[in-house]
Parts: sequence; structure tokens; C-alpha cells
Amino acid sequence: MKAKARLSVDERWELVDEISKRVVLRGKYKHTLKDVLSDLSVRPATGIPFMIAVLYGFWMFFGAFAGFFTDGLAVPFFDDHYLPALQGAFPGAGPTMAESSPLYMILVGDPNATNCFEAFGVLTSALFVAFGVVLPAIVAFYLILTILEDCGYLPRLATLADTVLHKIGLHGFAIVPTILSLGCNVPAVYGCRVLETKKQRFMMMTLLGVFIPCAAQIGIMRELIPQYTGLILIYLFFGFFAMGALLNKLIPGRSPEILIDVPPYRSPQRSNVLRKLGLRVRHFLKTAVPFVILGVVVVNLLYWTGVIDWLSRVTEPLFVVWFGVPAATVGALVMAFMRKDMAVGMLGGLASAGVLSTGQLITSVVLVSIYFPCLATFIMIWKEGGTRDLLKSLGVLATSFFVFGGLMHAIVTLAGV
Amino acid sequence: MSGYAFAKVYFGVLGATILLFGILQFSTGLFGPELSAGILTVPQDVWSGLILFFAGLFVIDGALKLHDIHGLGKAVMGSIMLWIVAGCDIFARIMTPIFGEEGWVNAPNGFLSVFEPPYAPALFLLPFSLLIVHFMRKSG
Repeated sequence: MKAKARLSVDERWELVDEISKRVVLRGKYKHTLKDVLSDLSVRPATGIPFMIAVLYGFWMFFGAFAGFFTDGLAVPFFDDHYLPALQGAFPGAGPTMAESSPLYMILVGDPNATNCFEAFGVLTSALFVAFGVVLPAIVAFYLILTILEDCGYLPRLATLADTVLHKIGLHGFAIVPTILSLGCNVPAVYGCRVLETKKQRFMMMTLLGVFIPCAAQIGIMRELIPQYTGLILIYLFFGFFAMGALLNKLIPGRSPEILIDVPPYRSPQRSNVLRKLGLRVRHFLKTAVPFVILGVVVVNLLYWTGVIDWLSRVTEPLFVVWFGVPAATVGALVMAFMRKDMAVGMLGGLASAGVLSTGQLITSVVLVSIYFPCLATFIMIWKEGGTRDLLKSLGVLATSFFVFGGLMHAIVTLAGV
Repeated sequence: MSGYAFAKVYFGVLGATILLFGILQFSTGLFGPELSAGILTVPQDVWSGLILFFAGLFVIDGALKLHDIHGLGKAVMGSIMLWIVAGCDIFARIMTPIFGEEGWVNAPNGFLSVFEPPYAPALFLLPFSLLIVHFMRKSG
């Protein structure tokens, strides 16, 4: 060490050159197929069609996988075997829900229900929604997301989305919380930390809380109104960008440029994919299932004590005139505060009972989607942004709820759905 | 005819066929009823039509300079897009018939009936596109 310390600066550089000559192999770099594919997938002319293909594959896999478990396994089991057995065996059943015992009402729900969507009890609807509908959707979503993440496609998606997202004051990395949010809003709010400025973080948390439906909710929407789910999603994404552009103008703060490190494409490792999938599904089971059960209990108690009826009467003019939906939707909106997926399921029950027409069901699903994020997301936004940001988010939410809900009512009416 | 010269013609024709079916599928998705001819059916799906359209363009463009890694890359990207559409169709065909209408598990003939024709264009073109794997391996 002492000998090296006596070298002059020039001698040191000569030594560096000497070492590099011995160890560095020089030659012309030959592009590999992976390099070319990597380059093509970030160039808009080739990357955007490829992105459409990837997202198409994502959506089709999601539908086929979730449909396989929900329609093929869960629906026949819950509706044909489990529900009739429980309705027959559980004590306290009356001719109607109101005449049944409170415990029966909370745990089993409607004694005349023919399917678990309509029953609305903890042991019926809550279990069916959580495990029969939402769990397959969550597994399908996270499986594909993890594969895309591990093969290195997500940073390329971020690069492609950068130009579009810059128009609303965000940058390419905002695509990561956006896609995470399509799985569950809770980790997505946490994922907003990848954004650099306070303005960007607030905008992203608010926009995803208001406009991006989670996989659980999309799963239920596919089950109830498969033919309109795509249109509702396009409408919500339109709302995302319209409100994003407005917030970008109104909120002071910086939207800096970023440099994205794009790793090479790699084959996903099966063990890594399974581990990540397991962690994410466990997180869902821990955070979502208790809220589904709690939500059903709270809503049933509110029905039982007459609070929902009172709320329905008070808000009826607004709902009927402005949104064109019956006051019965209020119950679903109360439920949406606990779990949005369960709330959409509740709307399905109202539609099967003939309370909602198709057009009203579409508007109600949009209202539930835009309506304040579920309790878990609410807590997460408060934790990440503080009370002030939460209150500002509430302002954005109220505006979006009235504007986009009313607009959907107009669209549905004009389209004659 | 050298290997690359044959491949240029082969992928040129394949790309044009994918492009043609893409246009047809996209138009069917937008304006018309589902088209069926023999064992071929063109589904009413705008998105897969759009993907096939671009896949066809990429395969044609790649075929013109297949000896070059950049041309090959484009042809590979087009083929992957075709595989995604065909793969989704195959996956849906596998998943749909396992559980039947009547009971939890479909009868064998009910299960197999879903795999009978007609097939969508992407399924027809899938085996022809697999030749690209040979060139991918060749490029290292």
C-alpha cells in the first residue's frame, strides 16, 4: 500500500491503463435478438401495438382463469349445495328476511335467496365473494403481473407510458402504481412512493383511489355485466386522464423528468414467481377478507336499525334525479366504504331482484367505482399523505362523483340502455 | 434458393396472410356478423383483429431483411403477437369445457366438442409461424 501511495497522478493513470489493457476485452458489440426486442418494445411505432397485445393477453387470461374457478366451481358449489343446506340447517329462519332472527339475518341473510349474491349474509355472500369470485381474480391478476415484472416488461411499459402520463403531470413510473391498483389499491398507494414530488404523489394516490377499480371489483363486474365491463373501464380511464389534466393545472408543484433503468429481458424464474404470488395473495387474504365480513355485518346492522332506509329517503332526490338510479343504491354505497367488490355484488342482487335496470346497474357500478376508496385504501392514503391530503382527495372525489356519475347517467339515457 | 431467400418468401406470404385476417377480423368486429367458412371462423373481436393487423405488418417488414438481426427481431415480435392471440384462444378452449352446464365435470364428449372446428385465423396460422423459432436459434 505504501509503494502505491508514492505514485504520481500520471503514474497512477498509466497503471490503470495497463490493468485495463490486460483485463478488458475490446471488440465490436454485436446486437443480440434480446437487445433488438428490447429496443422494439420501447419504440412507440412497434411498442404500442405490442403493448396492446400484452394487455389483451393479460385480460383474456384473467377472464378465462377467473371464469373457470368462479363459474365452473364456486357458483355450482355455493348456489346449488352450500346455500340450500345452510338455509335449511341454520336456526331462526322466517318467511322473509325481516321476520328472521337477527343472527340469521346477519349470518345467512335472505332465507328466500336462490343464489349467494342475493343472500347477503356473512356465511353466504361474504364467503362466496371473497373466496369464490375475488380470490381467483386476484390469483390470475398477480400471476400475470409477476411474470411481466420478472421478465422485465414493466419498465418498458413505463417508458412507453411516459409521454402520455407527462401530459397530466406524472411520469412513466406512474404506470407501476396504476397497474398495481388494478390488483389492489392498498399496495398501489404505497407504490406511489416511486414518484418524486409531493404533487405527483398526491395526484396519483387520488386518481387511483377514485378511478381505478381493483381486480376484485373487476372480477365481480365481469360476473354481473360482462358485456359492459370493457366500456366502464374505458370510461373510468377517461375520467382518470380528464381529472389528472385538471389536477395538474390546479395543484402547484413540480413534475420533473426521470431516467428509467431498463433491465434486459429475462426468463421468469418459477420459484420467484410462485413466492411473489404467494406473498401477494396472503396479503389480500389478510387485508380484504376481514373487511368483506365486517362490511356485511355493518350493512346488515344498518338495515336492521333502519339507518339505510333513512339515508335512502334523504338522498332519494339526488340519486333519482341526478344519477337516475333508485334510492336502494345507497346501501351499496355504504357497503362500498368497506369493500367495493362486495358493493358491486350487492348491486347484482338488486338487479336480479328487478330493482335496477341494465342502464341503472351500469350507472350504479360507475358510482360505486368512483365513490370513495374502500376503508383499507382510505387508511393507506391518510397514512401516506396525511390529513390535509386526505381532505383534498375528498374534494376531488366529491367533484368526480357528481360530474362522472351524472355524465354516465346522460350517456346511458342517450344510448337507450 | 438459399435458406434466407426461401424464408423471406415464406414469412412474406405468412405476414400478408396474418395482415389480411387482421383486417377481416377487425372489420368483422366493427361492422359485421361473425364470418364462417368450413372449419374457419372469423370472430367479432376488434382487439385481436387489431393485434393481428400489426403482427402481419411486423412479420412482412421483418421478412424483407430477415438476414439482419433487426429484421429478424421485428418478425419475432410479430410472431409473439400472433402467439398471444392464439394462446388466449387455446387457453379459453381448455378452461371452458372442464366444468359442464349440468354438473361440475363435463362428460368426455362435451369436453372434446369444444376442441372441434371451426377455428379462428390465429389458431390456423400458429403452426406456420413456428418456423421463426429456427431462425431465433440460428441467431443465437
